[in-house]
Amino acid sequence: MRWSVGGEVGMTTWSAGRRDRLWLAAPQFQLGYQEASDWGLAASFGAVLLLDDPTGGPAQSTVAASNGWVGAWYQLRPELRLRFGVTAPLSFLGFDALAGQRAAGYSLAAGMRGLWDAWLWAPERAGAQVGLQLAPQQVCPHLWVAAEADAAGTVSVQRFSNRSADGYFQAAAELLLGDQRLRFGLRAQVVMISAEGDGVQTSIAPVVTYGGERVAVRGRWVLNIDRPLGLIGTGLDVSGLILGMEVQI
Amino acid sequence: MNGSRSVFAGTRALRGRCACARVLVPRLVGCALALVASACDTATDLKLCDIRETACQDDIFYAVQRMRGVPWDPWVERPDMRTITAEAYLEELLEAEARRQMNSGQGGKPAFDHYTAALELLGMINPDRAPTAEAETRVDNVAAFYTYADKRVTIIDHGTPLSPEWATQVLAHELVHAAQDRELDLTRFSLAQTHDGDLARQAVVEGEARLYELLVSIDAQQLEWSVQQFDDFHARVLERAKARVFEDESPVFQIYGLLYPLGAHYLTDRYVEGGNVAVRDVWADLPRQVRELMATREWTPLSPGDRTPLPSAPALACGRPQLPEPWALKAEHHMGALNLFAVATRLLPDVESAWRSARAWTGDHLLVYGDEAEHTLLLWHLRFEPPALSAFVDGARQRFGEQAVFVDGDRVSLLLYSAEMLPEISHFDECDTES
Repeated sequence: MRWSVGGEVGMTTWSAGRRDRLWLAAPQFQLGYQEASDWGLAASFGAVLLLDDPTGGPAQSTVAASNGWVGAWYQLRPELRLRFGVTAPLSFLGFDALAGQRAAGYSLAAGMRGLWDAWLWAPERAGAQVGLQLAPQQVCPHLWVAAEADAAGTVSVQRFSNRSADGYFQAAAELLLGDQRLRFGLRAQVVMISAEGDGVQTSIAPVVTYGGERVAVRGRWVLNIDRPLGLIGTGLDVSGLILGMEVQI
Repeated sequence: MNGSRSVFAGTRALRGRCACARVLVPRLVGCALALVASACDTATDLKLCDIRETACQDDIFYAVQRMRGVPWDPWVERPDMRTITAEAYLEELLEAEARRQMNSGQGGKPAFDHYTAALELLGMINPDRAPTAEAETRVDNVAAFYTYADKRVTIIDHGTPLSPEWATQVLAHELVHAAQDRELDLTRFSLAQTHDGDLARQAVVEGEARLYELLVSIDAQQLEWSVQQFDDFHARVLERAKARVFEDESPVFQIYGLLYPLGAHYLTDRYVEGGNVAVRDVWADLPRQVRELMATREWTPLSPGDRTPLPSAPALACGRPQLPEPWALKAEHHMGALNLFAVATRLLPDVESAWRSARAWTGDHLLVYGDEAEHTLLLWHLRFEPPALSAFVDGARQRFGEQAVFVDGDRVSLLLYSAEMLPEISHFDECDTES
């Protein structure tokens, strides 16, 4: 029996409209429990902390909860893990003057991760997810590859929407250089959401990981590439720095 | 332009911010991200396009979202849109009005509307108007609208093609309403306690839409506007709207047009003071009277601290007439400065005199009584800042007669009725003159 605690925090900033700059931190806390070598349980919960800092005027801050997530994993093979989970709709926009700011917080929290695990930040939506994870595989003495993919769906539980259900698919591959403990490399990911218009987001992320006896640390800088959130074309230039840590107890 | 502030001043004041915050590590991390984002700044600006095309509608939708401070939101969709002809819109309005009238009555006969009859007595509605006059006025004035019930934007095809600039503005305006509805549930915002309060809230609704419509439009045209230009634009629109009220035979149908420039001017000031944050703050503390949006100083809205106390009981709720049966109270409203303006355009020789009266409004209370024979009696208590009082009283006495106008200090009461004889009023409730 083994417990783990951890979390990550994502940070970004974005220029909104003509006079405002948004600063966002989105921490996420995780708890893991492993009963046997081939299965375990996990849960996570997060928040968005948004500061809107307009030119000349006073800033305005908002704090809002992310969706809660509980899930489980099962080791299909030593290198291949099946994972599944459900999200509880804890993120609410409300109907007040700050509802738009909360919406901005959720969309930035998802956007700075390249929409990865976007259902965690989908306001007023419950969801379910299933996926596969390929653990880092050593293909050369100092070269590692890893991959993961998930499919998910969410349903709206609160607000009128002309689209009450959403579908998600995400896939990522990582190419890392390093040894058993310290690795760095590049992660490429693509996320598809059943959003209107352009619902496909590709992104890359320089990644650094460190795995000790009990502590694992991971950092990545997600750079969205194309529309709607990316750096090229008519994208919104959203990027995010994500720092995470996990401790085995 | 001397003294004008650029709306865009400080938009890229990133380096100064970073220099000031260099000791704060988290801020530095954010600054690094911001600088990278700035360095990679790309063509996020909207381009003028054909709003009949879906891609163009999407672009304007996201431009509105960005301008209001929300980046691409995968969980929000552009509302449904449709285009109908002006004739079809008129038909829809007339059908809706017929349904409303039938629902208000019994046995297939519409109920007599004493409130409308009161507006006719005051000269706010021409009693000889065509039955379709109100709907026709609305069709003439509307280029597009958003409906709460079905969350849909409707564009009216008036038969002449819209320029891309104007079309972008029109669509952006309605998409702001869609965003307001999503965030605030606009159906709740018509629930102010007074008719005047409703108009003030509507002015904020329309004013925010006008503000962001203009910002999106100048973005699309890659123009630089100053605040002075915004002010001049709103002032020109206000003058046109005032003239329309003055010229219309039923001025009350035109007062909605005043809400756009009044609200837009109010919100532009807020936006310049503090961007989207300051605009959101207006929603958190809505004006309660249109007068807060009007020029008491020359074209300068009142600040929230200057608010006139609500004209609620007992200030102007006194002076209720005690009428014999079967007369009964049918409606009572705080009408506010814009309705006063509509009446004043019937009493005073020019637009500016009428506007001065409206600006001098400090409170009112309209009481409408009716009987079963469809007779209507109204008593409208008004309170003014003194300089505008005498002109209004003179005009009212000329139009309604000496016997209809009562003056008591800074208060004026109008007593008008459609019955052949004034019903016997046993007494009026006492006014609390101290309040």
